[in-house]
Amino acid sequence: MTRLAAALRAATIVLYRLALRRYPRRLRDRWGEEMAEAARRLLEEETARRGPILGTLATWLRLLRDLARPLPGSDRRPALGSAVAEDLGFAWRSLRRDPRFSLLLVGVLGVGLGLNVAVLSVVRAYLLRPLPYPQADRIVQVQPLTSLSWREVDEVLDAPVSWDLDVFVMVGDGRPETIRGAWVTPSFQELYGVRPAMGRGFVPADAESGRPPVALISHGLWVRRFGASPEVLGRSFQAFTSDRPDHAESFSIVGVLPPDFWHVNPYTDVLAPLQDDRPVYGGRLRPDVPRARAEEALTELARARTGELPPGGSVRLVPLQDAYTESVRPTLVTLQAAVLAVLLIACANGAVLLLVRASRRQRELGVRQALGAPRLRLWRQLLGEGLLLAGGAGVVGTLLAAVLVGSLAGLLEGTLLTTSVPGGAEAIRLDGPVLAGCLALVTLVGLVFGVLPLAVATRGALADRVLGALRSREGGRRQGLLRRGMVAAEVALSLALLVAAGLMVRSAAHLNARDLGFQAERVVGAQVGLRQASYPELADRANFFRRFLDAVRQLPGVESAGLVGFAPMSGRATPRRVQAEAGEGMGGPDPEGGAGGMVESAVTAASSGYPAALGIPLLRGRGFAAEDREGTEPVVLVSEEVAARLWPGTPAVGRRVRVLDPLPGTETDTTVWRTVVGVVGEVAAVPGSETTGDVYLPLRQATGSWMTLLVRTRPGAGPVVPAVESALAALDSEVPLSRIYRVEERARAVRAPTAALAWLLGGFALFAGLLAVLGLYGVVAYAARQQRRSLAIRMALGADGRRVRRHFLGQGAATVLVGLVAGAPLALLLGHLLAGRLHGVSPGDPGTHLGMAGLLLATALLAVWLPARRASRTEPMGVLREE
Amino acid sequence: MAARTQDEGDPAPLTPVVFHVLLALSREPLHGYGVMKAVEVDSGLSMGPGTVYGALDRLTESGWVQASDADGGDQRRGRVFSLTDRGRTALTDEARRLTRLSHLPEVRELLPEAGG
Repeated sequence: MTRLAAALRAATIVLYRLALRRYPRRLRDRWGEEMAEAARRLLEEETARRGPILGTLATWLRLLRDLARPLPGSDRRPALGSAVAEDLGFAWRSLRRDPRFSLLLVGVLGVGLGLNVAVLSVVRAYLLRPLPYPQADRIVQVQPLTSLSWREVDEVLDAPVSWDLDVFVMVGDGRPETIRGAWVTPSFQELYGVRPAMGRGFVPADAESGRPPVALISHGLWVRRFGASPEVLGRSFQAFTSDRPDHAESFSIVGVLPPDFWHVNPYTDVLAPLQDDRPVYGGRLRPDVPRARAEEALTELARARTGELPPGGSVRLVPLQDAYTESVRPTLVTLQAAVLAVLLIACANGAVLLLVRASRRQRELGVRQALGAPRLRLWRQLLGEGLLLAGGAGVVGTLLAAVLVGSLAGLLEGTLLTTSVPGGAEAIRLDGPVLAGCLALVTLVGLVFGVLPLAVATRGALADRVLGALRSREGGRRQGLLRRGMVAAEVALSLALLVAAGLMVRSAAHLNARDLGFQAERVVGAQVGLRQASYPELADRANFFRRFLDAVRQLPGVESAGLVGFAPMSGRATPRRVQAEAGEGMGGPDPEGGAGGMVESAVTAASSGYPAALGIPLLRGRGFAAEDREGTEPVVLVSEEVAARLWPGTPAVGRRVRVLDPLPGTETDTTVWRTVVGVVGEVAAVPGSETTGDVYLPLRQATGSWMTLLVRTRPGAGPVVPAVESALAALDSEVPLSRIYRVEERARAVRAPTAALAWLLGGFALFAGLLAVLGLYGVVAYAARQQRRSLAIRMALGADGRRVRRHFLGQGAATVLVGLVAGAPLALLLGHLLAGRLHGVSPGDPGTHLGMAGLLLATALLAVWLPARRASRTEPMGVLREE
Repeated sequence: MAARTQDEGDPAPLTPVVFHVLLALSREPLHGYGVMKAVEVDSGLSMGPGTVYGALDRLTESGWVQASDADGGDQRRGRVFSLTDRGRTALTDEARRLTRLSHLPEVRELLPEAGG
């Protein structure tokens, strides 16, 4: 709520500052700042009293009344110039005569504008605003990574950086804690403009090898672990790192990073100077070197080493911002396209309504012209109406955008895009350029709205208009075409949106319906990482994990527990080649020759009891048991899919496979031939992803240092994590439990972006579709009204109601069909933009495309049917007598 | 208004806004926002920044009110306004005029509770 209040406040102040232009310049120059400040305090007070939304409305009522009032002591309404003010006054009165029409237009346009400004604010934060680094536009990333050291590339790159992400296990005071950090080159500070909020940055001497390590810590860590103590500088902490795992090292804190420090990867809680050589990751292009030349130079350097680049390959320097936002760009572009379509539809709708209204006003304008109103004056008044409508829409839109940005920005960042906003959470905001864009749109819309009715309403001979005789067929037809064209455009855009929404809804449904392959309820996951130095041998680690698992299983509230190397819902595992033994597999081991079929599959270590803990069904054979350890027969569990692909139609248990790509960090040969002892169910690594099959090696034959513990608690059991932590501490007080999560929540979070996008697009599409149908209804109802007389004559001469209905239905259907045909390619285009976000449905899915077109057609025909029926029930004599 | 104020021989009535602004400042120096709130409390007149600063601008021009930089911490709220001697005279004159007005027999007839 406070975020909403802040957004509303920002929008109010910006708008009020703009409104201050109403006052004479002298007053603005002298007191403008203080007036805005007074408005801000007024808003704060009202917000405190009535809450953000009502408070903002109350404040605006007061500010608008104040703005409309003449300045004390001045006799005339100031600022705009009397003639313009008078025109606007006239326009205002004219709009007030038809308040429902005006409010509808302002509302529809306001929603369109608000959505655009809100989405544009997000787009700007990700794609348009430079990353928060000095000369960010010249910062590039090296792709692909080469073995070129950062020290070798200074001819083309200033501040070439490299880093080594690491997990720092802080020990000493209190519980061990895993902290994400990085070893960075000295140039890191220069490239990213790091200025410590306290203390100093790194100096070259810090990076000399053999120096005792120093560290910069993040603001968050400083507050959390060091109680925001100002005496933290010079203190040191003990931590194990993967580079120096044999003993906890002492890092002396030399500085604290500012709270707003942001880096493209979140490993920034501890920064320590990198003392050895690493491949260069990126840097800042030197001002005198064009990118193409820098790429050539690096490619040449890389080619000089064998095996560095594939034949014909080259090194590319990708702007850091492009690389960082690559994954979010399609979603953002889709959203922006969707809201732009909504705005276009809203505009077309507004234009249709205004056209209809303008035709009705031909007579009024004709009379005024005949009475001597200069043509220019009429034009100005009509333009004034357009601008007033657009201005109202601008205010509605800005306030709506403020509400949306305030309440949705966090949701978008966390749920939909799942990539942190460059520059931190506050970077999504309504700001000057976005508002300027909004105002430009408003003005454009206003001009269009002013000009369109003008063109219509002042056409034709004056006398005809005055006498209301302008019913000439050809003029009417041309206007009719224009209106119907607009409606067809609305239908086209709506179709594209509806199809996009339909595809997303089907993807979300697909994800929800898809069986995960395990029961996520009441399962807690956490990572346990052993230090290589303390547990160098496979047997050491296996023993530790076995004892740990035994201890966890004894805890009250624990139903079952297991350990696995790579847990579901933690991303996609690297596929590894798994080969089946040839022939019947009953003969003796033949490690060289006996190769059979091969699959690529996820391969990971798992403890006995892992499938049970996660509720993965054991379909055939047995699970791992205590005797599956180092020195006994190598065994393996495979999933259904692996079994079906390697041995279609024949039993898998008893066959032999080997994993061709070794599992790193296991200190043992994982590529030996293994006997399949059981077949388990398929598990979705990521919801909706194509399953690749799973192969499990027994923990005691293949464990690395990091395992994920999965604990299923009994129904109604309290939190189990503290007890697990104590059990772990009893075994080794320097091993932390990290990344604790609920499997159910993670499964939901992985599905969330799809659901969020489905909701958003669904909402937009619904709004757009409604507008299009409303527009169609308006056009047909108007046509029916205008043709009342001719219809009445025809019906008086014997035409029956059915023919009249058919006439209108035919016209309406033709308009909608033109729209649908025009919209089909748009729908395909939007579908392909979304392709990366779709699950279980293709961008061109005929069912969705045809279904949505059918839905739109049906709704549209209903909208035509209503006025057509009314027209067909005209009582001919009544109408003819009227005129 | 400037024309009226210079003609001190025959003080013309002040507008309600000006009167209430002066009245608010007669008690203590205030920021613009403070004036706005004080007038609201005194009279129920709810003014906006435009009206308040429009009045204050003219009053400083004609020398009835002076603006000075806020001392100490509260720079953001802006300058502090206080009544000058001329402003106080004008306010007193207006108060006198209103009192005289309230003693007119016709007015007393309108307001029997004023002790006619």
